[in-house]
Formats: sequence, C-alpha cells, structure tokens
Amino acid sequence: VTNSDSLYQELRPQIEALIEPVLKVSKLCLNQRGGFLPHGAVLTAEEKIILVGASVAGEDVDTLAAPADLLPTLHEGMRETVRESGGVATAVSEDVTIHRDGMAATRAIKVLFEHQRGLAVALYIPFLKPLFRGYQYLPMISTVAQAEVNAWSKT
Amino acid sequence: MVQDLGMEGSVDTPMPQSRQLPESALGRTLPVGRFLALIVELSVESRGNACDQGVVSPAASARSFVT
Repeated sequence: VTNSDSLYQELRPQIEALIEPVLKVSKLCLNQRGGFLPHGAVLTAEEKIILVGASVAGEDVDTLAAPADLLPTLHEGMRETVRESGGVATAVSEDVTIHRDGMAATRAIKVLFEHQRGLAVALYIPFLKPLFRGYQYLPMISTVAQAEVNAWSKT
Repeated sequence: MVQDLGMEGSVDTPMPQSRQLPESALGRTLPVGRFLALIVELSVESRGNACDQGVVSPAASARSFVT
C-alpha cells in the first residue's frame, strides 16, 4: 500500500461529498440543454460546499460562451474561492469526449478532484443519449491525474 | 463501503491506476447566463432560501454560490 493509496482511501468521503453536487449541476444542464459549461465546487474545512461558475465580461442571459474560453477564468475563480474560504478540495466538471482502446469515442462528464494534501484524481462518467430516451450513464472510470487548478500552489 | 451517489458507478474502492485516458474537450457553446442561473437555482434549492450570497470576483467573471 503506497501513501497515495492510503491518502485516496482516507479522502474518499470528501471526494464523494464534493462530486455529488457538481454532478447534479452537470446532469441537470445536460438534460435541459444537451451539454454544460465548465463549473466547479470547493469543499471547505467546515465541510461547506461552494459552487463556482465562470462567466464572460458583459454577459447577458443569452451570451454564448465556449468551454475553452471559460476554463481559465473558472480556475482563477476556484483559486480565489479557496483562498477566501479556506478550501481544502476542489472539483471541476467538464463535458468531454473520451477515447478508449477499441471503443468508439464516448461523451463523458469529467470531474477533476484536487485536494490540498496533493491528491489529484479524474473521474469520468461516460454517457449515451439514445434516440427518444433520456441520458444513460455508464459506470464511472477514475484515473490519477495532473492537478489543473493548483489552488494551494506557492507560486 | 461505497457510498451510493445516485448514479451508475461510484468512486473506485482501490486507488486508480496511473493510466491516462485520452480525452478531448467539446467545443460546444452554450448561453452562459442561463447556465449560471441554473447553478444559482440549485444553490437556492440546497440552501432553501434566496441566493444572495453569490459574489462576483475582482475579475468580474467568476461567481461562487454557497450551498
């Protein structure tokens, strides 16, 4: 058992607590809009969840935004929220396409979880949209990942 | 014990292996104001009261909502 293994086991309750509200937003928007923009959440030391969304300057209700344009702003907003709230973990959800060996490309909700103690895990929930039916979510895939928000970086 | 997250699949019990999963981000554009309104709606639902806690960052482009 490595340190990462034990850390992962120790932090699983926090991972689950943080990704649940994030997935709720992603799935609701998928159902309503057929997609979603990057968004995230911060878990504080007091176990409070803070949802974080990013916008564009001068936006009104119908201003269109692309995920790639929002992601840097969202990451900055996450770092700022962590600083202000004493956050201990972050999760960012993105609408991605994954490519697995021998399988057709599949859309997936990707949630990147980062913890103050150095753990970074990417969780993928692939999904399908059969004609005339609701979204079908497939079993979650998790991988170790590189941190992207880096909310506790000293630099 | 794996917690039921109300979805198919849950956080893996063992530490995930160091395997990369090739991915590409979707370039789909969406109305950002409507999306943020959805987050506010969920935040309000969670808190059970009006979401007057939303803050605008100094960058005027990222907003957080306490849930």
